[in-house]
Amino acid sequence: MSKPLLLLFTGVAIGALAAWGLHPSGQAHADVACPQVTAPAAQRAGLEATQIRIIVRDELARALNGSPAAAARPDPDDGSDRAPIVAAATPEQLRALDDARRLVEAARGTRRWTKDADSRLQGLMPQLDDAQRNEILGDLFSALNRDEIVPDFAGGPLSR
Amino acid sequence: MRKVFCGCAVALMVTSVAYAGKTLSSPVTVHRNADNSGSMTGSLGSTRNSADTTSYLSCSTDRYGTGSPQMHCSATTAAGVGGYCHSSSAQLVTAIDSMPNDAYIVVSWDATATCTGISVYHDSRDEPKQ
Repeated sequence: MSKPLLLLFTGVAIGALAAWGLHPSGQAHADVACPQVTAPAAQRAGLEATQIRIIVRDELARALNGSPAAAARPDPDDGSDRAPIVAAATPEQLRALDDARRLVEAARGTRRWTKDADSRLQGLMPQLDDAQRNEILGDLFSALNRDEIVPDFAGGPLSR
Repeated sequence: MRKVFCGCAVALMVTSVAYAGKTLSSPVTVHRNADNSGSMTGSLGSTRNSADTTSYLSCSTDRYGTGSPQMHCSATTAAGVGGYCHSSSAQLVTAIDSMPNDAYIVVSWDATATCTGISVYHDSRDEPKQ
């Protein structure tokens, strides 16, 4: 093929591609347009779910560990095993956990475990899940065994 | 009359000796290790019958609407030394639930205050609560 012919062929090809890009056919337009119409709604729903998941996990991490950074921010599409735990942590549970942790922290501050604090903790225990109960009792009982907290009544924690 | 009285007294003494048996007084003790683990021992009856007003030994089980049953034990000696542990081990919960009223018990815990074991003694030597 001679050089002029090659240049002519190349020029025609470029022109055709440019024309198609500026004015695509109706069929091609429809193919592109459909995802563009439906995608934003799907993406919006996905983002909302992701944001909610992140917020809930951050709140749970703050309640459990004191810092959102303590829990790794999940990939939006992951099916990690932490998801069921998050789903089980209701706002009431998080509030009860927060209250229970404050009771123990207050006792650390005064070095006393009072009957009133004990009664309050007994009232909160049914609202917690197993892991939360173990966290609170482990924290309290360990502090008692180290004499960081001392009961100021006859008996131990969760007593009559 | 006096001879009859003396005879009765002797008879009562003999009877008393014959049915006494070996007895033990086992008030609560608490042992703490450097790593924060430890153990508590004692009989509920002897601890209850201690002359002081500080000694205390107790184990309880808890059941809630959700989750596993839990148990916890607490002890305070006459000198005021305390020991505390808890667990959701089904075996330990069962042991506490079936513990006799005047048992002698040994409860151990680890550095996290988790109960790791309990021994329950049904022993004729242990005194009942008065």
